[in-house]
Amino acid sequence: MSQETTSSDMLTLYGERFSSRLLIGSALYPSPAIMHDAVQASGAEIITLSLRRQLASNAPATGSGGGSGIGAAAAQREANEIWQYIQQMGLKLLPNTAGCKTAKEAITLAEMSREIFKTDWLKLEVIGDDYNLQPDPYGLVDAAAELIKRGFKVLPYCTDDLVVCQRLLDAGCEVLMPWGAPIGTGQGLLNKYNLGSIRERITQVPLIIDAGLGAPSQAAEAMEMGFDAVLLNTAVAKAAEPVWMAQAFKGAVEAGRLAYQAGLMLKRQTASPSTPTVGMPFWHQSK
Amino acid sequence: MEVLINGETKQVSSATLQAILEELAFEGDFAVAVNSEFVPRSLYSTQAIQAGDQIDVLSPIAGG
Repeated sequence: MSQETTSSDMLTLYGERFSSRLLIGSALYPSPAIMHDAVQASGAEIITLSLRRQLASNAPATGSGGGSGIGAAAAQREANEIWQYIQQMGLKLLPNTAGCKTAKEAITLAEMSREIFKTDWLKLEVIGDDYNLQPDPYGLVDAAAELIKRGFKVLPYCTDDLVVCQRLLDAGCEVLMPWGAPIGTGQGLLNKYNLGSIRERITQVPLIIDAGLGAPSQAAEAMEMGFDAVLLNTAVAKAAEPVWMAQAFKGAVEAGRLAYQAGLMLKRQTASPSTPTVGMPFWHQSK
Repeated sequence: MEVLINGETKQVSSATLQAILEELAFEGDFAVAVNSEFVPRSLYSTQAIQAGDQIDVLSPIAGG
C-alpha cells in the first residue's frame, strides 16, 4: 500500500471525516491542565464530556439542605475550568448520557446536551446494572430509535452482542460502539469471538471499541481486528504519566490500523523457517 | 414557595422559571429540566413553576 493511500485513510462518522482513529474522554485526569495536554498528545479529534447538576449557584442556600459548601464550589470551579479548556481545543464534542438508567432519562439528558453543546452528536449510554455498568440493551435500542427520530446522531455504547448491534442498526444508528470490557476495568478485549463476529457481520457502518481498554497493545489489537477506531479515557487519565500514555495510544492505534490494512499473516500450528534452507552448509542429508 | 433545585429545597419568590434562575443567580452554560422534562431556553420566561416542582440545572463536566 502506498504512503499516499494510507495518509488518505480517513474515519467517516455520520458523514464527517476524521484523520485520528482515537476518541478520548475528558474525565479523571490529575488536573484540567494535564487533561488538556494529554488530549492534545493523543491527537484525538473527538472528545467526550457530560452534564451534571451545577454544584453551587451564587445565591446563598436559603432553605433546608444547603449542600453548596466549599467542596462543591471547588468541584464546580474545576468543572468550569475543564469546560473552558475543552472549548479552547476546538475538538468535535461528543456528549454522553453516562449514568442514565432508562431511555427516558437518556432522552432528557440528550436534549439538554444538544442545547448546551450545540451538537446533535451523542454517545448514548443507558446503563442496566451498577455492578459492571453494562448497557441495558432494551433501553438502549428504545432510546436510540427515539433520538434518531429527533434528529440526533447517535453513537451507542453497547455490549458485544451481535443481535443488539443489529437492532441498533435497525433503529438507524450509523456507528456502533461495542465495549471491549466494562468501563474503567482496563481488561482489554474480553470476548474476541463476539467482537470478531460483529466485525465480520457488520461491515456497513464504522465500529468503535469503547471502554475497557487498559494498554496500548489492546488498542492495537482492536485496530488489527478491523475495528475503525477506539474510544478510551481511564487508561490515559489514570496512567502515571497521562501525556506519555496518550502518545503511546496514538502510536498503537496508528500501528494497529496500518497492520490491518497491510493484512496479517495467517497463524500456523507448526514452525516454518524464515531463513532459506537451500544452500545450507553442513547439511545432514543422510538423516 | 418551596421548590427543589438540584436536589436541594429552596425558598423562591418568583413564579416563572426565568425569574427563579435569575433569583438564584445561576450562571455560565446550563440547561434545565423541570420535573425531569427538558425545558428549552426559549420557554424559560413562560414556564410557570409551582410549589414542589423539581428543577434540575445542569452544566458541562468532564466525561468518558
